[in-house]
Amino acid sequence: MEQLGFLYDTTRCVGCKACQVACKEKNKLGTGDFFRRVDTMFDATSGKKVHFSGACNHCKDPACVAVCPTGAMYIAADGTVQHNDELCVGCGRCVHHCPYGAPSLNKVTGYAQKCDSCAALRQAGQDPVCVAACPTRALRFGPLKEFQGEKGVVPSDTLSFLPPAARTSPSFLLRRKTDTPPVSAGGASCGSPAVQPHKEYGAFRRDTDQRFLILGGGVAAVSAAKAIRARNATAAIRMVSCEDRLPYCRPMLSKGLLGSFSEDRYPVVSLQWLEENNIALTLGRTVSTLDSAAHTVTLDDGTKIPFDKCIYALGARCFVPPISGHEKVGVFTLRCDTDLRAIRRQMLTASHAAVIGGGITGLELAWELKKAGLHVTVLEMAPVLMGRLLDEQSSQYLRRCIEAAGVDVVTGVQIKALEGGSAVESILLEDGRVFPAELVVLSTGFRANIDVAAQAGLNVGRAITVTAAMETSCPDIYACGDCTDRSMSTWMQSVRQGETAGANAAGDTLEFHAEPEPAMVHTAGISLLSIGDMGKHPDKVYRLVYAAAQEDAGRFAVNPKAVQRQGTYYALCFHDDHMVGATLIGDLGSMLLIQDAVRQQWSEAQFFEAAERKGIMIHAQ
Amino acid sequence: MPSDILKDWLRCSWFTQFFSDFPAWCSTAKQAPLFAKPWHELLSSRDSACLQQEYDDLMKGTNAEIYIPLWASVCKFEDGSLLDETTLKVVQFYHRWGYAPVEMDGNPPDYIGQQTRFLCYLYACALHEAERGGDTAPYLAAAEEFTTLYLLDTVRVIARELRRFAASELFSTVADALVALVRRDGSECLAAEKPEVYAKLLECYDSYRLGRGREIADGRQTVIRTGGRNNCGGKCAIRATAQDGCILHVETGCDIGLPQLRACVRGRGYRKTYLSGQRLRYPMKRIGKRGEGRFQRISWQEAADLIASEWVRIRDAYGPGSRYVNYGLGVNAVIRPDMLVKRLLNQDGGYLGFYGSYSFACAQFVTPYIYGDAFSGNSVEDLPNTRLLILWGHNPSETVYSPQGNYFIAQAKERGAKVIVIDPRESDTVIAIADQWVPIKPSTDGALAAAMAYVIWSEGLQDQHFMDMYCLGFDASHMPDGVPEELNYHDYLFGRLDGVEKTPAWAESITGVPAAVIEELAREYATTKPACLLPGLGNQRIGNGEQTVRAMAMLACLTGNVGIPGGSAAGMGFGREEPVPVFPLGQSGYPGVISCFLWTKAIEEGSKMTRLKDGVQGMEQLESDVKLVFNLAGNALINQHADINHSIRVLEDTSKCEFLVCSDVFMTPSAKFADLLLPAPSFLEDDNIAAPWRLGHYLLRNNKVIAPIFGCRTEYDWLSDVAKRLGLWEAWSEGRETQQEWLEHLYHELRQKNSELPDYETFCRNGGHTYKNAVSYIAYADQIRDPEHYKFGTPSGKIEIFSKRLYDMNNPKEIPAIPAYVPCPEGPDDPLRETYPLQLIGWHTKRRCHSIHDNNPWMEEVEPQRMWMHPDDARTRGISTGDIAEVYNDRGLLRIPVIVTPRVIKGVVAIPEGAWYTPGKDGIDTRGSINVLTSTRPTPLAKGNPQHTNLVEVRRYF
Repeated sequence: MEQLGFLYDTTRCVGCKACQVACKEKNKLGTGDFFRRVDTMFDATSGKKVHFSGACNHCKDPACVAVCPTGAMYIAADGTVQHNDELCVGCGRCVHHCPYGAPSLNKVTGYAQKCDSCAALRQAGQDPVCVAACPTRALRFGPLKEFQGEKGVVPSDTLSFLPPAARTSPSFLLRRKTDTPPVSAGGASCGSPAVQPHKEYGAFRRDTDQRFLILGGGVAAVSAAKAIRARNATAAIRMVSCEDRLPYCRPMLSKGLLGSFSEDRYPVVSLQWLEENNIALTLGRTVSTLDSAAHTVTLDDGTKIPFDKCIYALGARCFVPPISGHEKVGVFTLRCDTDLRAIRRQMLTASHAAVIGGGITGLELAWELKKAGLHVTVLEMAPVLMGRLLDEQSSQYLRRCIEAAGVDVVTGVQIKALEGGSAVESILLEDGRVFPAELVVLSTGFRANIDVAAQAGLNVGRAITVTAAMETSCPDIYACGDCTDRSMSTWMQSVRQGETAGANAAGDTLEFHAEPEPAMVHTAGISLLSIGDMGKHPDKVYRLVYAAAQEDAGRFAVNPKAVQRQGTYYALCFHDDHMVGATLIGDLGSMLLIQDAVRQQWSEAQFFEAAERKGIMIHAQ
Repeated sequence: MPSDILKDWLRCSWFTQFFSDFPAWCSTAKQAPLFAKPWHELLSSRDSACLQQEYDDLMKGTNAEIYIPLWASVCKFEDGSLLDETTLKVVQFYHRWGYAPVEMDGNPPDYIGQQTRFLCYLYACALHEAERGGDTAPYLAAAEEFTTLYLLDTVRVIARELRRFAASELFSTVADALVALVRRDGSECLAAEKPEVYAKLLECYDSYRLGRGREIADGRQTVIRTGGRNNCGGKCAIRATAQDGCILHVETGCDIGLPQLRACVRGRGYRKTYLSGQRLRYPMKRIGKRGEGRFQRISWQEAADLIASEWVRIRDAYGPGSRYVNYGLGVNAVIRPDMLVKRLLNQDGGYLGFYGSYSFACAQFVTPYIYGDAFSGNSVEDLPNTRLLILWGHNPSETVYSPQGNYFIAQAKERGAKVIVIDPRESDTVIAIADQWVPIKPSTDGALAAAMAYVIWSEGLQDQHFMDMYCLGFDASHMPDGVPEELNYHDYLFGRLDGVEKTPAWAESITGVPAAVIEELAREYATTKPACLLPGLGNQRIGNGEQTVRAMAMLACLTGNVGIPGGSAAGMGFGREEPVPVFPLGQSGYPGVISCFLWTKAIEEGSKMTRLKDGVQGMEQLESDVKLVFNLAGNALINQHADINHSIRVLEDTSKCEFLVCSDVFMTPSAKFADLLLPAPSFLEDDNIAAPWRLGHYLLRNNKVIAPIFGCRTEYDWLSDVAKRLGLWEAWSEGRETQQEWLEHLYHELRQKNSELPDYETFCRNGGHTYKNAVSYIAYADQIRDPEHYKFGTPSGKIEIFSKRLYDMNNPKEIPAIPAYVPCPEGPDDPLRETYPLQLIGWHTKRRCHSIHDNNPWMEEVEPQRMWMHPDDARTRGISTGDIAEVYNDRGLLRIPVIVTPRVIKGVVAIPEGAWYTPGKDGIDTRGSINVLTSTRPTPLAKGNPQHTNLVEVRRYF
């Protein structure tokens, strides 16, 4: 099969953006979502401004496929990179790793989404819609070999702001004027792509007739099930979930779902997938006891399930601080789908809402409530928002953004009581201040579900003690996800822990080592990304550098979130002139640059040089 | 608690009536005690007329300040549009359960009333089933699912907005009741299998006495070929996919045009623009002050009565010349709404007509003074023949002057043509295709042209043969009789008249273009053949735009580029291509005609307007002020006309213009000023035929994709009603009941002239026709090839560089007889610059067609409404990118976010035209509508609009 890809003729593109909107119309993308986007950029190679229409480049060695934990991102038979919603867990790894910024997370469903080069249209013998839309015929799609023979065709990285082609071998060529032969910035030749086979998922295989019992229905449980099935085609796998619906994307609970609920795209695995993979799923049952010696589990209806290997993934529950009145009607926590539905209905009658706790979930939820038309106050016990993650100035900047969007923020509070009759009406602080609220959400952290484990005799502290292989202190029992002591409560870590637990239970050898993942918050119409150490180690001396991106300087990002009026804000944290942490607020288009800089510990000069090379105009302040 | 559930159910059944037919709802108000408060208490505070008005304001869009979306499609997702996929899913949900939507005041089937009625239907089915001892669970589960997926979102949004806007307790109660309805868990219904509940419910749902209806099959997807009809250069061919009355997507995929006609960014967003929930819904009469945006819903019959009576009253009181049809090209097709009403006025004594255009007033007016006609443009497919393309104030990347134009320019470039763009902005065209950008101060193009001519002549690069052969007035030996010889153009250039030589150095000080660049540009243009100097229209929308047009045409002659392939005569640039169907307006009984730009003057003091002073045509002085205005499918009443604050002052005085009829698809800034506001269908709901402005060998069919939504009616339909009341229907319609019949008739007429056209049915089915035997038009090729037989249409039969007609006007300061550079009012030389140092221009952005699409969120992504400002100008004012600036002059003040960029020259700020005037609470525009700052002073000759010459000052606001 010949490699298919895009040919983009920079000499013909007039920057009219017809492709951008045609793509949105065809793919029914919401405002703020793009598969293809046109920007005006500065190309350092030619020293000129250029229009650039960018989308997924269907790389031969795609970073998104390499990092996708579930195989949702895959290379299709025709060589294009495709995405399977049913397998997607919305972890966002592809979003972080694609050097072209092509995938993004759908605001409603939470799944990754990107250009599929209009596979359905192509199957019907038509061009992708962007190609068919182009008034000047600047875009074409077809076998790359044919394009390579044409006059003036050069590799993509001859545009200075695109990454070296060798990195992912994009199926993306440019046509430029022939009289000024451009020099390839990345030094790669499109004729001999360096194809590196990406790591096959689940290379280990051992088919047995073992019984795998997975306790829990969250993403760690699902990931474990997938990891087992990928290594063992014949074993019996059963999952037990206390919720009454298919596993779903939990981080999305605090995002768009509160506003517009789409049940059909809600679950992360479908019934069909469960059937095809022969995975049994018991819904709506809680685990009463686990007998580690007898290798059995008893459910709340008395059912006894024997197992050979057990994976304990019962997750965590919301911590409810002992505030007086927390049991009143209208007081919620947000952990599961039922909580969301309850909040959605309560939202209809409430005019004032309060979110107690200004962490990621709290801030996102506050914004959703605000969008729904409520008057929202965030009450945070600490003196600043997200103080454990952010430096003080970034935290204040975030607070200003949130307040500018109309959400009230009060920090350093001590809550005395939730007042009202049977239903909550207001919040009383220790200092006597009162905030009206007919809807209160407690977003004050989680506690691991360890009761069953403790009773079964597993080693537990605040959470279940596990090894890097996700083994508990009992043989044949593994644990993963939010209930373990290695959890940082992020979605991605749960995926990887689940994978590790499942793989090891199936006989493979995998280890989980926590590495810093970027934390992302979407609130108040802005996005925040923070990675690494923002100056939180008391013994180290840090230097913080603040910078801003000039909005008009051109930016390349297929999926920038709404940009604040001020443009994009950067806080860079250096230790011995090595970047150890960074925070980005506004347009996350340059998040890859930030991640590279932190992971490779660049110097300040290195960072600004690299930014300029990429056409991202950042100015230190 | 069964009794609570009974209440809820009855409330539920009330909603369906409440949201569809308020009077009927009121008549059943005896059931009102079921509300929290007795019905009479709710009503007592306000009389029923007052309540009816509030109901219409909240539910029918009669108040410009209130907008409550009532449809699942718009409520479910932040940017849903009417009749989209969500609507289809709702309809299919209905279908699965055997429910057929009933008519509810033209509302889409996912309307809140329909949704609650469906819910009630499901409950009725459940009870029916329960009585027979069947299984109620599926119905209750369906009700729960439907509520979760669609109704909850709809209710949430409606309740929120109702609470925000409702003044009376009644409507707050409605919000509460709606919320109570969806908050209740459907499974509770199981406990309520009481016969009396069942009986009550069935009373409301008589037709479902027999239980669940049969499952309804979903409709089939159909693809309809249609075409855009905005005031865009070339229109575009559209394929719309529809199912069950919903429009799923629009795309280009027809085979109209060679090369295939492809929609630009605006055409791609049609569905998003036109199926917005903010559409006008019902005919409305103004209540409150004019311009306030408060209306009362009336019936179409009342609307027709009102028009007919005002029509007669004003005609009899002030004469036919008091009636005016304002410029409006929102529908730019073969049958336009303004044409229909003009035809009707012509059956009844006529009306005050207009000439000119907001687009090309000067170019259209003055080009005949040069060439004898305005057909000075070559066919667009001739572009690849050129070797040098000078886009002078022309920005095809963004304006998409012709949908094929950018394609042919790309071809020209591929064949090696050099492209030079002259523009104060480094436009997207500059970035895309220019080999050279020549930035210039706005309104000084005439000086640049003069200096280029000076260089060409000084260096002997002129096409002397061409000048001698075809032109008049360029030097002393080629002057018309009876005119002093020294007034020739050459002597002007070399300073024999005023002692000033028009050297590049002279021009540099005026235009800001370095002398060396001017010399180079002149040499390049004179020595490259063929060279195409393609003027845009922006450079003639200035205080004396006529001179700019003449100067460029002069250059085209001086270099001999007229009448040849790959060349360009500049000027207006109309082409003679395929004939288009012409809707007959009939003969006007009133001879007076004014410039379209002077309508506010005609309202203020029309009877004082004269031929000499105001360019009145057809008579020496008008007989009357304008008293009756029809503004159909146009936004030039407020938004697109100059000096918005002035227009508001003129219109607010209802003793001046006494009756103002608007029809439109949205509550535009102009529509707010209507006395009678009529909702029109969008192009997706109407039929028409559309042709490109002037470039392109095709004709487009605008096919109806869905029926008109809400109470929208075409102008033809309501004008028929008016015509019947006036006894003019027979004459006006020639017996044709519908616009469709006219279109067919006009098409047949055209087909007789051009047999290549297919039969009407085929034409409609294909969405248009591409002419196979098209001939490319090269302007004045005949005159150049064979001057003996073909004369130019001027009095002399030659190209008139010197115009004796203009000379005879005897106003040499403003209207010189030659294309001399005349400094423009509010140009860079105006002393007013001491107060207002910045020149303000308003470019056409790609995201809008004038003011159309401004309310489309996808277009805001394409290009947010921002002002461009040079870094030096910004620095001295302490402004940086993202700041909100106040831009002001003596005429007004607006606020707009700023982009600081070297892509606009120093001393110039640029605000894209067309943004909807949106005054905040303090009356100051918050959207950046440039016409707050523009001037109503007309150009000297064409009486055209000077909307790019404005002096302003800018300060930081926030």
